[in-house]
Amino acid sequence: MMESVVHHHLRPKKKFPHIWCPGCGHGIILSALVRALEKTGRERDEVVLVSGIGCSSRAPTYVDFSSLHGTHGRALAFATGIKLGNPRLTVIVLTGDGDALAIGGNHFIHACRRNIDITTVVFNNNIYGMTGGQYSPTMPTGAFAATAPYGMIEQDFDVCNLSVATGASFVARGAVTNPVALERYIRQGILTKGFSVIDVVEPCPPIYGFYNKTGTALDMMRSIKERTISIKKAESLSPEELKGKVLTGVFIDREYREYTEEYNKVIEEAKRSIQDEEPL
Amino acid sequence: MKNKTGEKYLSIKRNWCKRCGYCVEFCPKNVFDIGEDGYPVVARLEDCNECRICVYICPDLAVIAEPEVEEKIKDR
Amino acid sequence: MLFYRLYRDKEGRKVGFVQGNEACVEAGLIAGLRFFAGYPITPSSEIASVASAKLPMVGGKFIQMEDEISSMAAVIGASMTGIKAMTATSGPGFSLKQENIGFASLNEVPCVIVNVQRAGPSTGLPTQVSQGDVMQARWGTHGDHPIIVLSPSSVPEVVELTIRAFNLSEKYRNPVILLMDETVAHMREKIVLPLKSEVEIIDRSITTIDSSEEYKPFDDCTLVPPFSPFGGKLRYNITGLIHDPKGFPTAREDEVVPLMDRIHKKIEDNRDDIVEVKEHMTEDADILLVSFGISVKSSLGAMKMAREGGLKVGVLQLVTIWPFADREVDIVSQQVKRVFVVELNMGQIIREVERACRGRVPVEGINRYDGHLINPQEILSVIEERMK
Repeated sequence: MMESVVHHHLRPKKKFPHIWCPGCGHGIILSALVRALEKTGRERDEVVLVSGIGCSSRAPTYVDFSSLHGTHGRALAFATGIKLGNPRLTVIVLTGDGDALAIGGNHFIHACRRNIDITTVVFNNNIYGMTGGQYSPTMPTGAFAATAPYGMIEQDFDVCNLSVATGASFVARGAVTNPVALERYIRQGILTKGFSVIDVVEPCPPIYGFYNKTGTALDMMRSIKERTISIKKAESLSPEELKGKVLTGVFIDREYREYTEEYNKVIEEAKRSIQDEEPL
Repeated sequence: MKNKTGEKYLSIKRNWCKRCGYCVEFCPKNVFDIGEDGYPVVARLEDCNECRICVYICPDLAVIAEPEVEEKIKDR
Repeated sequence: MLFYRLYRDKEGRKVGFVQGNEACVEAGLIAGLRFFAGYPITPSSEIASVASAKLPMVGGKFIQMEDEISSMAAVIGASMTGIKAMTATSGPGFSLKQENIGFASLNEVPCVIVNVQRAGPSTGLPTQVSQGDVMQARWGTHGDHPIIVLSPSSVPEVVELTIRAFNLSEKYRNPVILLMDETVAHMREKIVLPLKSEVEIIDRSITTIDSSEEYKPFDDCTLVPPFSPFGGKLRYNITGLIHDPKGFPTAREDEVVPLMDRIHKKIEDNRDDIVEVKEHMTEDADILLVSFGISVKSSLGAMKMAREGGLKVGVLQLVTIWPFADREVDIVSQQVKRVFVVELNMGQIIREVERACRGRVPVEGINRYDGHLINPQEILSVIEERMK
């Protein structure tokens, strides 16, 4: 059973092969997510996957959980309503870098600040794939895109630092080149009582690769393997040596007031304050 | 990664596979080869150490490690 | 903090002298409101304040979201867990909510959206009265979509129509817009809240199917498919993409057309249940004032003055704005010599009235769009001028 976990959770009758391009990392992340969920022991009926718009947001339709494929950028807002509506549910948001951080950026930082018990997995391939390769807020400065023919002149967001700064309880970065670690981070995120963010480094071979001449899907995977370095290892390296590296591992794991629990206290307080209406 | 009789088991679901080559690249025991048509083939099953990385790294969910699963999704 | 107080009458009904905004929450609670998400905007803000105080008292939830868009999304999310959810806003916020209102329409998510209209466009005349969002309420979100819009003309009607808004949204699994205006929202009137035993409360029908394999969230065997809450026994997908009966994206003509047809048909076929008008002295009227919302009060004032002067004026009040009461307008307009449409905009619902009157009777607008109410005397002057 544990070998092909994802296959045991495929949505019946859903068409395969999936819509993603050859070499796209989304399938690896989806598979890690399902394994992570299985290991947490959460009831299948009590999981809701929420996504926005983009290639990655198609992920929930392939697996047999309740799911809401919402509007562009708003996955976290839908998820907030679901979680608050029924706090018993395990709510997981699957979102892309553009979905989460550009059009959905405001919801992202406020979900972190609110520290509501939702796990967010950012499928971070640094580009808008579905619309044809426009630059995303995580595209590195200098890279090329359909809308950056002279190179990206903006600074990119670091998803993890942003999440830590805005108040998430658990923040980690994994890469599709290390699916075992990735699964572990997602599992930790789900088990964390509070808002958790798992940023996942992955390739977009046919589009990012096309605009940036980064070679085949395999070349891009090798490059990710070279670029990523664990936070622990990075500690012993000089700033020079760290140039161009992407840190992976757990950025923060802290206990903090969780929103739905805090709201339960509001309910208690409000119920105590009820005053009966005076008779006329 | 075993069948009912305890033998090692691995297969590639060709109609799901998109030929990225990740299974070949990431297998620590060099179990896979790339066939002439570009699809991976399980060439040295006996060398498999059952680490499952091929199953985990396959973006197309096309590496199957259980005969029961293979049976379950054979028409898909 | 609440700025009003309710008392109990002898029968135990809650009675108070309250604003329309406050009444809206009180009535919502009777209807079963248990979730509110919103963003501050005048002149709707009191709805959020009252909801924040009252909802937790009944175990409900209130959340102030980071913006208007997310408020609408959170309302949809909460409704998907099976609870009755509402948001409230005004013009600029209503514009921002539109995309997700379309999502609710397509996915048949029951919810209530209160739009306390203020004068626009853009930031407009904050926060003076207007009825400029009639067409936006109907066509604000992109694409063909079903919608129900109700408009109260007084605070007691806010009570009546808020309950009705929830009932219709649950019954037809459709977003319902309660189109209020600044005056109705802030005006204080006496209300008597009905006891729960005195009103019909409708809850969405829940499926009896207990297997995910069999459940079709958008089953086309029935006009309104039974619901299953997220976290219940059934696992299924909903999407803003056009979907098949199982909830998965489709572009097949034989699946797209039946879905689009069904979600419109469920409203059209039940229009008699949904459409409500109130007729005031129309039986013998020569002159008909068609109006809605706060302009009904102006029209009734004009009617009274006109009748005192011997002019037979009647008022046809559109309680349901959308679907439009074309049959009702058609019938009443056949008995009169002239129709005036009284609205606080440059002429929006008048086009529908003209359509329903089919050119048989002159139709003329009496409008104001400067952030002020139409004075009954202004209406009377126009009537007298035309009837000379």
